[in-house]
Amino acid sequence: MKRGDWIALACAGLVVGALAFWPQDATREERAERVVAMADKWAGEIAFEPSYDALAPSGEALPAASAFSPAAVSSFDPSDPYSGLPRNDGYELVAGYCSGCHSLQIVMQQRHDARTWDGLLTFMVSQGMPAPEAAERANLISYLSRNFGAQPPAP
Amino acid sequence: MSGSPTRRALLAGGAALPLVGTAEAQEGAKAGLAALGDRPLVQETPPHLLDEEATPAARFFVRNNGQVPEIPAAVEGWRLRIDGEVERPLDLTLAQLKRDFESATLRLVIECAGNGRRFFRPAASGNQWTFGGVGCADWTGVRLRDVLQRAGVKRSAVYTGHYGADAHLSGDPQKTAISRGVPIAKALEAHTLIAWAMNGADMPVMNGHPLRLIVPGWPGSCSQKWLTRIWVRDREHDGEKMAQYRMPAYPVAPGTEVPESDMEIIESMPVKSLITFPPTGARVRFGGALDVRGHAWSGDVEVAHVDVSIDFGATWTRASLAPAANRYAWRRFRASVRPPEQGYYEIWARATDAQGRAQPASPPGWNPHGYCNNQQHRVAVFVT
Repeated sequence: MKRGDWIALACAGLVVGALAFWPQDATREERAERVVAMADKWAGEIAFEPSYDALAPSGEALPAASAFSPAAVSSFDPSDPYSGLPRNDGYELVAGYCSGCHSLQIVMQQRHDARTWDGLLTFMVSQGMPAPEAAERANLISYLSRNFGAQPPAP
Repeated sequence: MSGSPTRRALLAGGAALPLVGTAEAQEGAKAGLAALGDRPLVQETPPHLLDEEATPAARFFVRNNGQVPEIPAAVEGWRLRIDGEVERPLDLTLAQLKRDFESATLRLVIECAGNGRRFFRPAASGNQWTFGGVGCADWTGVRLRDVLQRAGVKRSAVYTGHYGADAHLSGDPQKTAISRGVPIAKALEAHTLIAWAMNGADMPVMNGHPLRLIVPGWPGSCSQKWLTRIWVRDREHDGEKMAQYRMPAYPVAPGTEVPESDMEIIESMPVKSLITFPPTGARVRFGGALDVRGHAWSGDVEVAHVDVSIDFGATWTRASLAPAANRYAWRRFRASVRPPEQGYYEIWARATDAQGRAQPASPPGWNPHGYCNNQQHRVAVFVT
Protein backbone atom coordinates (compact mmCIF):
# COMPACT_ATOMS: atom_id res chain seq x y z
CA MET A 1 0.00 0.00 0.00
CA LYS A 2 1.07 3.54 -0.66
CA ARG A 3 1.78 5.93 2.16
CA GLY A 4 -1.46 7.81 1.46
CA ASP A 5 -3.47 4.59 1.80
CA TRP A 6 -1.97 3.94 5.22
CA ILE A 7 -2.94 7.41 6.34
CA ALA A 8 -6.48 6.94 5.02
CA LEU A 9 -6.74 3.59 6.77
CA ALA A 10 -5.45 5.07 10.03
CA CYS A 11 -7.97 7.88 9.79
CA ALA A 12 -10.80 5.44 9.13
CA GLY A 13 -9.67 3.39 12.13
CA LEU A 14 -9.68 6.46 14.30
CA VAL A 15 -13.17 7.36 13.17
CA VAL A 16 -14.47 3.84 13.82
CA GLY A 17 -12.77 3.78 17.23
CA ALA A 18 -14.08 7.21 18.15
CA LEU A 19 -17.60 6.23 17.13
CA ALA A 20 -17.40 3.17 19.37
CA PHE A 21 -16.56 5.28 22.38
CA TRP A 22 -18.42 8.49 21.42
CA PRO A 23 -21.22 9.30 23.91
CA GLN A 24 -24.44 8.06 22.40
CA ASP A 25 -27.77 9.72 23.09
CA ALA A 26 -29.66 7.56 25.55
CA THR A 27 -32.60 5.80 24.05
CA ARG A 28 -36.07 6.95 24.83
CA GLU A 29 -36.53 3.87 27.04
CA GLU A 30 -33.35 4.59 28.99
CA ARG A 31 -34.46 8.14 29.66
CA ALA A 32 -37.87 6.96 30.78
CA GLU A 33 -36.17 4.61 33.25
CA ARG A 34 -34.06 7.48 34.58
CA VAL A 35 -37.16 9.61 35.22
CA VAL A 36 -38.71 6.72 37.14
CA ALA A 37 -35.49 6.27 39.15
CA MET A 38 -35.56 9.99 39.91
CA ALA A 39 -39.16 9.74 41.09
CA ASP A 40 -38.23 6.75 43.28
CA LYS A 41 -35.49 8.75 44.98
CA TRP A 42 -37.62 11.86 45.53
CA ALA A 43 -37.58 13.16 49.09
CA GLY A 44 -41.34 13.58 49.18
CA GLU A 45 -41.57 17.32 49.57
CA ILE A 46 -40.76 20.40 47.53
CA ALA A 47 -38.27 22.64 49.31
CA PHE A 48 -40.28 25.78 49.94
CA GLU A 49 -37.44 27.40 51.87
CA PRO A 50 -36.22 30.61 50.31
CA SER A 51 -32.90 29.90 48.64
CA TYR A 52 -31.89 33.50 48.15
CA ASP A 53 -31.46 36.09 50.86
CA ALA A 54 -31.61 39.59 49.40
CA LEU A 55 -29.81 40.98 52.43
CA ALA A 56 -26.87 38.67 51.82
CA PRO A 57 -26.55 38.39 48.05
CA SER A 58 -23.22 36.61 48.28
CA GLY A 59 -24.88 33.87 50.23
CA GLU A 60 -23.03 34.04 53.54
CA ALA A 61 -26.26 34.19 55.52
CA LEU A 62 -28.08 31.46 53.66
CA PRO A 63 -29.68 29.00 56.01
CA ALA A 64 -28.11 25.56 56.10
CA ALA A 65 -29.70 23.18 53.65
CA SER A 66 -31.14 21.19 56.51
CA ALA A 67 -32.99 24.14 58.01
CA PHE A 68 -36.54 23.08 58.61
CA SER A 69 -36.25 19.78 56.89
CA PRO A 70 -39.27 17.64 57.67
CA ALA A 71 -36.94 15.38 59.65
CA ALA A 72 -35.98 18.23 61.96
CA VAL A 73 -39.59 19.09 62.64
CA SER A 74 -40.77 15.52 63.10
CA SER A 75 -38.23 14.77 65.82
CA PHE A 76 -41.20 14.91 68.20
CA ASP A 77 -41.64 11.39 69.58
CA PRO A 78 -44.84 10.80 71.56
CA SER A 79 -43.59 7.42 72.79
CA ASP A 80 -40.61 8.99 74.56
CA PRO A 81 -41.23 10.43 78.08
CA TYR A 82 -39.18 13.46 76.95
CA SER A 83 -40.95 13.62 73.57
CA GLY A 84 -37.70 13.15 71.67
CA LEU A 85 -35.95 16.19 73.16
CA PRO A 86 -32.24 15.98 72.36
CA ARG A 87 -30.51 14.59 75.47
CA ASN A 88 -28.06 17.28 76.39
CA ASP A 89 -27.70 19.58 79.34
CA GLY A 90 -31.02 21.20 80.17
CA TYR A 91 -33.54 18.86 78.53
CA GLU A 92 -35.19 17.92 81.83
CA LEU A 93 -35.64 21.59 82.67
CA VAL A 94 -37.29 22.24 79.32
CA ALA A 95 -39.56 19.22 79.74
CA GLY A 96 -40.47 20.38 83.25
CA TYR A 97 -41.16 24.02 82.52
CA CYS A 98 -42.59 23.88 79.03
CA SER A 99 -44.88 20.87 79.17
CA GLY A 100 -47.06 22.04 82.04
CA CYS A 101 -49.61 23.73 79.79
CA HIS A 102 -48.76 22.50 76.29
CA SER A 103 -46.95 19.60 74.69
CA LEU A 104 -43.30 19.80 73.66
CA GLN A 105 -44.32 19.44 70.02
CA ILE A 106 -44.82 23.19 69.68
CA VAL A 107 -41.46 23.89 71.35
CA MET A 108 -39.61 21.62 68.95
CA GLN A 109 -41.09 23.33 65.88
CA GLN A 110 -39.47 26.64 66.74
CA ARG A 111 -36.08 27.95 65.51
CA HIS A 112 -34.94 31.02 67.44
CA ASP A 113 -31.85 32.77 68.68
CA ALA A 114 -31.27 33.24 72.42
CA ARG A 115 -32.82 36.71 72.48
CA THR A 116 -36.11 35.46 71.00
CA TRP A 117 -36.19 32.42 73.29
CA ASP A 118 -35.67 34.80 76.24
CA GLY A 119 -38.66 36.87 75.08
CA LEU A 120 -40.77 33.72 74.72
CA LEU A 121 -39.93 32.69 78.31
CA THR A 122 -41.05 36.12 79.51
CA PHE A 123 -44.31 35.67 77.61
CA MET A 124 -44.82 32.18 79.05
CA VAL A 125 -44.34 33.45 82.60
CA SER A 126 -47.08 36.01 81.85
CA GLN A 127 -49.23 33.03 80.78
CA GLY A 128 -48.84 31.18 84.07
CA MET A 129 -45.49 29.36 83.79
CA PRO A 130 -43.68 29.40 87.17
CA ALA A 131 -40.82 31.91 86.89
CA PRO A 132 -37.51 30.03 86.76
CA GLU A 133 -34.68 31.36 88.91
CA ALA A 134 -31.85 33.09 87.06
CA ALA A 135 -29.53 30.10 86.71
CA GLU A 136 -32.33 27.85 85.50
CA ARG A 137 -33.50 30.49 83.07
CA ALA A 138 -30.02 30.82 81.60
CA ASN A 139 -29.88 27.05 81.28
CA LEU A 140 -33.28 26.93 79.53
CA ILE A 141 -32.27 29.62 77.04
CA SER A 142 -28.95 27.95 76.42
CA TYR A 143 -30.58 24.58 75.74
CA LEU A 144 -33.32 26.00 73.51
CA SER A 145 -31.04 28.16 71.40
CA ARG A 146 -28.47 25.36 71.14
CA ASN A 147 -30.93 22.68 70.02
CA PHE A 148 -33.66 24.80 68.43
CA GLY A 149 -31.61 27.76 67.29
CA ALA A 150 -32.08 30.08 64.35
CA GLN A 151 -29.50 27.92 62.63
CA PRO A 152 -30.01 24.19 63.12
CA PRO A 153 -27.32 22.24 64.98
CA ALA A 154 -24.83 20.27 62.94
CA PRO A 155 -26.16 16.75 62.32
CA MET B 1 -63.30 14.47 35.89
CA SER B 2 -62.85 11.74 38.47
CA GLY B 3 -62.93 9.07 35.80
CA SER B 4 -60.27 10.62 33.58
CA PRO B 5 -57.25 8.55 32.57
CA THR B 6 -54.95 11.00 34.33
CA ARG B 7 -56.64 10.34 37.60
CA ARG B 8 -56.37 6.62 37.18
CA ALA B 9 -52.72 6.96 36.26
CA LEU B 10 -52.18 9.00 39.39
CA LEU B 11 -53.70 6.53 41.76
CA ALA B 12 -50.88 4.10 41.11
CA GLY B 13 -48.29 6.64 42.21
CA GLY B 14 -49.82 8.05 45.33
CA ALA B 15 -48.31 10.89 47.25
CA ALA B 16 -45.58 10.87 49.81
CA LEU B 17 -46.71 13.46 52.28
CA PRO B 18 -44.66 14.83 55.13
CA LEU B 19 -46.23 14.18 58.49
CA VAL B 20 -45.12 16.52 61.20
CA GLY B 21 -46.43 14.07 63.74
CA THR B 22 -49.55 12.18 64.46
CA ALA B 23 -52.09 13.06 67.07
CA GLU B 24 -54.45 10.20 66.46
CA ALA B 25 -54.23 9.10 70.07
CA GLN B 26 -55.65 12.47 71.10
CA GLU B 27 -59.40 12.59 71.64
CA GLY B 28 -61.07 14.47 68.81
CA ALA B 29 -58.01 14.32 66.56
CA LYS B 30 -58.79 13.76 62.88
CA ALA B 31 -57.19 10.87 61.01
CA GLY B 32 -55.08 11.83 58.01
CA LEU B 33 -54.40 15.39 59.13
CA ALA B 34 -50.89 16.50 60.13
CA ALA B 35 -50.50 17.39 63.80
CA LEU B 36 -48.68 20.60 64.61
CA GLY B 37 -49.43 20.10 68.28
CA ASP B 38 -51.16 17.48 70.38
CA ARG B 39 -51.80 19.65 73.48
CA PRO B 40 -53.47 21.92 72.55
CA LEU B 41 -54.57 19.97 69.49
CA VAL B 42 -53.61 21.73 66.26
CA GLN B 43 -53.94 19.88 62.93
CA GLU B 44 -53.59 20.97 59.34
CA THR B 45 -55.04 19.31 56.25
CA PRO B 46 -52.75 18.07 53.47
CA PRO B 47 -53.81 20.02 50.34
CA HIS B 48 -54.90 16.95 48.35
CA LEU B 49 -57.47 16.20 51.08
CA LEU B 50 -59.10 19.59 50.45
CA ASP B 51 -60.29 18.64 46.97
CA GLU B 52 -64.03 18.63 47.70
CA GLU B 53 -66.16 21.68 46.98
CA ALA B 54 -67.12 21.87 50.65
CA THR B 55 -64.55 20.59 53.12
CA PRO B 56 -65.90 17.58 55.04
CA ALA B 57 -65.92 17.97 58.82
CA ALA B 58 -63.45 15.11 59.17
CA ARG B 59 -60.90 17.06 57.14
CA PHE B 60 -61.45 20.58 58.44
CA PHE B 61 -58.30 21.92 60.13
CA VAL B 62 -58.17 22.28 63.93
CA ARG B 63 -56.67 25.20 65.82
CA ASN B 64 -57.18 25.25 69.57
CA ASN B 65 -55.87 27.99 71.82
CA GLY B 66 -57.06 26.71 75.18
CA GLN B 67 -58.48 23.63 76.81
CA VAL B 68 -61.35 22.00 74.92
CA PRO B 69 -64.51 22.54 76.99
CA GLU B 70 -66.83 19.78 78.16
CA ILE B 71 -69.90 19.98 75.93
CA PRO B 72 -73.21 18.88 77.48
CA ALA B 73 -75.16 16.17 75.65
CA ALA B 74 -78.23 18.42 75.43
CA VAL B 75 -76.97 21.54 73.68
CA GLU B 76 -80.28 23.32 73.01
CA GLY B 77 -79.79 25.05 76.36
CA TRP B 78 -76.33 26.40 75.38
CA ARG B 79 -76.36 30.10 76.23
CA LEU B 80 -75.14 33.12 74.32
CA ARG B 81 -75.05 36.54 75.95
CA ILE B 82 -75.05 39.81 73.97
CA ASP B 83 -74.18 42.80 76.14
CA GLY B 84 -72.17 46.01 76.32
CA GLU B 85 -73.12 48.87 74.01
CA VAL B 86 -76.64 47.58 73.25
CA GLU B 87 -80.09 48.85 74.20
CA ARG B 88 -81.36 45.44 75.36
CA PRO B 89 -78.79 42.88 76.51
CA LEU B 90 -79.84 39.41 75.34
CA ASP B 91 -79.43 36.05 76.98
CA LEU B 92 -80.33 33.52 74.31
CA THR B 93 -80.36 29.74 74.23
CA LEU B 94 -79.36 27.84 71.14
CA ALA B 95 -83.02 26.77 70.83
CA GLN B 96 -84.08 30.43 70.82
CA LEU B 97 -81.50 31.31 68.19
CA LYS B 98 -82.86 28.56 65.96
CA ARG B 99 -86.49 29.50 66.62
CA ASP B 100 -86.50 33.30 66.75
CA PHE B 101 -84.18 34.28 63.91
CA GLU B 102 -84.01 33.58 60.21
CA SER B 103 -81.41 30.93 59.54
CA ALA B 104 -78.94 31.02 56.67
CA THR B 105 -76.57 28.52 55.08
CA LEU B 106 -73.47 29.93 53.45
CA ARG B 107 -70.27 28.37 52.08
CA LEU B 108 -67.49 30.25 53.86
CA VAL B 109 -63.73 29.94 54.08
CA ILE B 110 -61.96 29.99 57.42
CA GLU B 111 -58.20 30.35 57.29
CA CYS B 112 -55.73 30.67 60.12
CA ALA B 113 -53.80 33.95 59.79
CA GLY B 114 -50.61 31.97 60.49
CA ASN B 115 -51.16 29.57 57.58
CA GLY B 116 -47.78 29.46 55.75
CA ARG B 117 -45.81 30.63 58.78
CA ARG B 118 -43.27 27.84 58.33
CA PHE B 119 -41.74 29.52 55.28
CA PHE B 120 -40.71 32.82 56.87
CA ARG B 121 -36.99 33.42 57.55
CA PRO B 122 -35.97 34.15 60.20
CA ALA B 123 -38.50 31.78 61.72
CA ALA B 124 -41.55 33.30 63.38
CA SER B 125 -42.71 31.69 66.59
CA GLY B 126 -45.97 29.79 66.72
CA ASN B 127 -47.47 26.77 65.02
CA GLN B 128 -45.45 26.07 61.90
CA TRP B 129 -48.35 25.84 59.44
CA THR B 130 -47.52 24.94 55.85
CA PHE B 131 -50.58 25.22 53.56
CA GLY B 132 -53.41 23.36 55.24
CA GLY B 133 -54.69 25.81 57.86
CA VAL B 134 -57.73 26.50 55.70
CA GLY B 135 -61.10 24.97 54.92
CA CYS B 136 -64.40 25.95 53.33
CA ALA B 137 -67.65 24.44 54.59
CA ASP B 138 -71.37 25.06 54.37
CA TRP B 139 -72.20 26.74 57.67
CA THR B 140 -75.74 27.08 58.97
CA GLY B 141 -76.71 29.60 61.60
CA VAL B 142 -78.12 33.07 62.02
CA ARG B 143 -76.63 36.35 60.92
CA LEU B 144 -74.78 38.10 63.74
CA ARG B 145 -76.32 41.27 62.28
CA ASP B 146 -79.86 40.07 63.05
CA VAL B 147 -78.96 39.24 66.66
CA LEU B 148 -77.15 42.54 67.20
CA GLN B 149 -80.07 44.47 65.72
CA ARG B 150 -82.48 42.61 68.05
CA ALA B 151 -80.32 43.81 70.93
CA GLY B 152 -80.19 47.33 69.49
CA VAL B 153 -76.64 48.48 68.74
CA LYS B 154 -75.96 51.84 70.38
CA ARG B 155 -74.25 54.66 68.51
CA SER B 156 -71.35 54.26 70.92
CA ALA B 157 -70.60 50.73 69.59
CA VAL B 158 -67.19 50.44 67.95
CA TYR B 159 -66.01 46.84 68.13
CA THR B 160 -67.10 43.37 69.19
CA GLY B 161 -65.37 41.23 71.81
CA HIS B 162 -65.90 37.45 71.46
CA TYR B 163 -65.78 34.91 74.28
CA GLY B 164 -65.90 31.12 74.28
CA ALA B 165 -66.11 28.31 76.82
CA ASP B 166 -62.51 27.11 76.42
CA ALA B 167 -60.34 27.59 79.52
CA HIS B 168 -56.82 29.02 79.41
CA LEU B 169 -54.10 26.39 78.87
CA SER B 170 -52.71 27.01 82.35
CA GLY B 171 -56.14 26.23 83.82
CA ASP B 172 -56.10 29.62 85.56
CA PRO B 173 -59.77 30.75 85.65
CA GLN B 174 -58.65 34.39 85.76
CA LYS B 175 -57.11 34.02 82.31
CA THR B 176 -58.84 33.85 78.92
CA ALA B 177 -57.60 31.49 76.20
CA ILE B 178 -58.50 33.82 73.34
CA SER B 179 -60.92 36.71 72.89
CA ARG B 180 -60.80 38.56 69.63
CA GLY B 181 -63.23 40.91 67.97
CA VAL B 182 -63.99 42.88 64.82
CA PRO B 183 -65.14 46.43 64.00
CA ILE B 184 -68.93 46.80 64.12
CA ALA B 185 -69.11 47.19 60.33
CA LYS B 186 -67.63 43.71 59.83
CA ALA B 187 -69.91 42.26 62.51
CA LEU B 188 -72.92 43.70 60.65
CA GLU B 189 -71.95 42.19 57.28
CA ALA B 190 -74.53 39.77 55.87
CA HIS B 191 -71.97 36.92 55.74
CA THR B 192 -70.92 37.03 59.39
CA LEU B 193 -72.71 34.11 61.04
CA ILE B 194 -73.37 32.59 64.43
CA ALA B 195 -73.30 28.96 63.27
CA TRP B 196 -74.44 25.69 64.80
CA ALA B 197 -74.11 23.35 61.81
CA MET B 198 -71.43 22.44 59.31
CA ASN B 199 -72.33 20.72 56.05
CA GLY B 200 -75.83 20.06 57.38
CA ALA B 201 -74.78 18.33 60.60
CA ASP B 202 -73.47 19.20 64.03
CA MET B 203 -69.89 20.40 63.70
CA PRO B 204 -67.09 18.48 65.46
CA VAL B 205 -66.37 19.66 69.00
CA MET B 206 -62.85 20.50 67.76
CA ASN B 207 -64.43 22.98 65.33
CA GLY B 208 -66.60 24.67 67.94
CA HIS B 209 -69.73 22.55 68.53
CA PRO B 210 -72.37 23.59 69.50
CA LEU B 211 -71.98 27.27 68.55
CA ARG B 212 -69.32 29.38 66.88
CA LEU B 213 -68.81 32.58 64.98
CA ILE B 214 -67.84 32.61 61.31
CA VAL B 215 -66.19 35.88 60.28
CA PRO B 216 -65.20 35.03 56.70
CA GLY B 217 -62.24 36.61 54.96
CA TRP B 218 -60.60 37.67 58.21
CA PRO B 219 -58.17 35.73 60.42
CA GLY B 220 -59.73 32.50 61.68
CA SER B 221 -59.13 33.65 65.25
CA CYS B 222 -62.02 36.13 64.84
CA SER B 223 -64.37 33.14 64.41
CA GLN B 224 -64.68 32.29 68.11
CA LYS B 225 -65.43 28.64 68.90
CA TRP B 226 -67.73 27.44 71.72
CA LEU B 227 -69.26 30.93 71.63
CA THR B 228 -70.82 32.14 74.91
CA ARG B 229 -70.71 35.93 74.78
CA ILE B 230 -70.42 38.88 72.44
CA TRP B 231 -69.48 42.03 74.30
CA VAL B 232 -70.18 45.09 72.18
CA ARG B 233 -67.43 47.55 72.99
CA ASP B 234 -67.16 51.35 72.84
CA ARG B 235 -63.51 51.00 71.83
CA GLU B 236 -61.24 48.59 70.01
CA HIS B 237 -61.45 45.27 71.86
CA ASP B 238 -58.48 44.51 74.11
CA GLY B 239 -59.15 40.82 74.81
CA GLU B 240 -56.55 38.07 74.93
CA LYS B 241 -54.52 37.85 71.68
CA MET B 242 -55.91 41.10 70.26
CA ALA B 243 -52.32 42.31 70.60
CA GLN B 244 -50.94 39.25 68.85
CA TYR B 245 -52.71 39.09 65.47
CA ARG B 246 -50.92 42.15 64.14
CA MET B 247 -48.60 43.10 61.30
CA PRO B 248 -46.11 45.96 60.99
CA ALA B 249 -47.71 49.20 59.76
CA TYR B 250 -44.89 49.54 57.19
CA PRO B 251 -42.71 46.94 55.45
CA VAL B 252 -39.82 45.80 57.64
CA ALA B 253 -36.57 43.98 56.91
CA PRO B 254 -36.57 40.30 57.93
CA GLY B 255 -35.79 39.92 61.63
CA THR B 256 -36.65 43.51 62.60
CA GLU B 257 -37.87 44.03 66.15
CA VAL B 258 -41.01 46.12 65.63
CA PRO B 259 -42.36 48.23 68.53
CA GLU B 260 -45.94 47.37 69.51
CA SER B 261 -47.00 50.92 68.66
CA ASP B 262 -46.14 50.17 65.02
CA MET B 263 -48.18 46.98 64.79
CA GLU B 264 -51.69 47.00 63.31
CA ILE B 265 -54.53 44.49 63.68
CA ILE B 266 -54.92 42.17 60.68
CA GLU B 267 -58.27 42.59 58.98
CA SER B 268 -58.95 41.22 55.48
CA MET B 269 -56.73 38.29 54.45
CA PRO B 270 -54.78 38.24 51.16
CA VAL B 271 -55.68 36.34 47.97
CA LYS B 272 -54.61 32.71 47.93
CA SER B 273 -55.02 29.39 46.14
CA LEU B 274 -54.30 25.73 46.70
CA ILE B 275 -53.72 22.92 44.22
CA THR B 276 -55.83 19.99 45.41
CA PHE B 277 -55.25 17.73 42.40
CA PRO B 278 -52.90 16.16 41.48
CA PRO B 279 -51.37 15.33 44.87
CA THR B 280 -47.73 16.23 45.23
CA GLY B 281 -45.37 13.42 44.23
CA ALA B 282 -47.87 12.01 41.73
CA ARG B 283 -46.65 10.10 38.68
CA VAL B 284 -48.51 10.64 35.46
CA ARG B 285 -48.06 8.87 32.18
CA PHE B 286 -46.46 10.88 29.39
CA GLY B 287 -48.67 11.93 26.52
CA GLY B 288 -51.92 13.78 26.68
CA ALA B 289 -53.21 16.45 28.93
CA LEU B 290 -52.86 16.65 32.71
CA ASP B 291 -55.85 18.02 34.57
CA VAL B 292 -55.07 20.38 37.42
CA ARG B 293 -57.58 21.73 39.88
CA GLY B 294 -57.85 23.50 43.19
CA HIS B 295 -59.51 26.38 45.00
CA ALA B 296 -58.89 30.12 45.13
CA TRP B 297 -60.16 32.51 47.77
CA SER B 298 -59.54 35.91 49.21
CA GLY B 299 -60.58 38.25 52.00
CA ASP B 300 -62.85 41.23 51.46
CA VAL B 301 -61.58 41.68 47.88
CA GLU B 302 -62.77 39.04 45.42
CA VAL B 303 -60.64 36.68 43.35
CA ALA B 304 -60.27 37.84 39.73
CA HIS B 305 -58.37 34.99 38.07
CA VAL B 306 -56.00 32.07 38.56
CA ASP B 307 -52.98 31.10 36.46
CA VAL B 308 -51.06 27.84 36.42
CA SER B 309 -47.43 27.21 35.42
CA ILE B 310 -45.53 23.97 34.79
CA ASP B 311 -42.20 25.65 33.99
CA PHE B 312 -41.31 27.31 37.29
CA GLY B 313 -43.22 30.45 36.51
CA ALA B 314 -41.65 31.12 33.09
CA THR B 315 -45.03 30.88 31.36
CA TRP B 316 -48.55 30.84 32.75
CA THR B 317 -51.82 29.36 31.57
CA ARG B 318 -55.12 30.97 32.57
CA ALA B 319 -57.29 28.53 34.51
CA SER B 320 -61.06 28.43 34.34
CA LEU B 321 -62.69 29.76 37.48
CA ALA B 322 -66.11 28.58 38.61
CA PRO B 323 -68.48 31.11 40.16
CA ALA B 324 -68.50 31.28 43.96
CA ALA B 325 -71.43 29.58 45.73
CA ASN B 326 -71.72 32.90 47.55
CA ARG B 327 -69.40 35.72 48.58
CA TYR B 328 -66.47 34.45 50.73
CA ALA B 329 -66.75 30.91 49.34
CA TRP B 330 -63.67 29.57 47.66
CA ARG B 331 -63.85 29.12 43.90
CA ARG B 332 -62.90 26.01 41.96
CA PHE B 333 -60.21 26.53 39.33
CA ARG B 334 -59.32 24.04 36.62
CA ALA B 335 -56.58 23.96 34.03
CA SER B 336 -55.33 21.44 31.52
CA VAL B 337 -51.57 21.37 30.96
CA ARG B 338 -49.38 19.37 28.58
CA PRO B 339 -45.93 18.46 29.91
CA PRO B 340 -43.74 18.51 26.75
CA GLU B 341 -41.50 15.59 27.72
CA GLN B 342 -40.88 13.11 30.51
CA GLY B 343 -39.33 14.42 33.69
CA TYR B 344 -39.89 16.36 36.89
CA TYR B 345 -42.44 19.15 36.87
CA GLU B 346 -43.76 21.51 39.47
CA ILE B 347 -47.26 22.84 39.04
CA TRP B 348 -47.51 26.35 40.45
CA ALA B 349 -50.79 28.17 40.99
CA ARG B 350 -51.17 31.93 41.27
CA ALA B 351 -54.43 33.69 42.13
CA THR B 352 -54.94 37.41 41.53
CA ASP B 353 -57.56 39.55 43.27
CA ALA B 354 -59.86 42.17 41.81
CA GLN B 355 -57.35 44.89 42.73
CA GLY B 356 -54.63 43.20 40.65
CA ARG B 357 -52.70 41.82 43.60
CA ALA B 358 -51.30 38.35 42.82
CA GLN B 359 -49.77 35.71 45.05
CA PRO B 360 -45.98 36.09 45.23
CA ALA B 361 -43.64 33.20 44.40
CA SER B 362 -41.83 33.48 47.74
CA PRO B 363 -43.06 34.59 51.15
CA PRO B 364 -44.27 38.19 51.15
CA GLY B 365 -43.31 40.83 53.72
CA TRP B 366 -41.64 39.23 56.71
CA ASN B 367 -43.42 40.05 59.95
CA PRO B 368 -42.59 39.15 63.56
CA HIS B 369 -45.49 36.71 64.09
CA GLY B 370 -45.38 35.16 60.63
CA TYR B 371 -48.87 36.03 59.39
CA CYS B 372 -50.49 36.31 55.96
CA ASN B 373 -48.05 34.26 53.91
CA ASN B 374 -49.94 33.86 50.65
CA GLN B 375 -47.07 32.54 48.55
CA GLN B 376 -47.93 30.33 45.59
CA HIS B 377 -48.63 26.68 46.29
CA ARG B 378 -46.68 24.13 44.27
CA VAL B 379 -47.02 20.41 43.72
CA ALA B 380 -44.41 18.09 42.21
CA VAL B 381 -45.33 15.72 39.41
CA PHE B 382 -43.22 13.08 37.68
CA VAL B 383 -44.16 12.52 34.05
CA THR B 384 -42.99 9.00 33.23
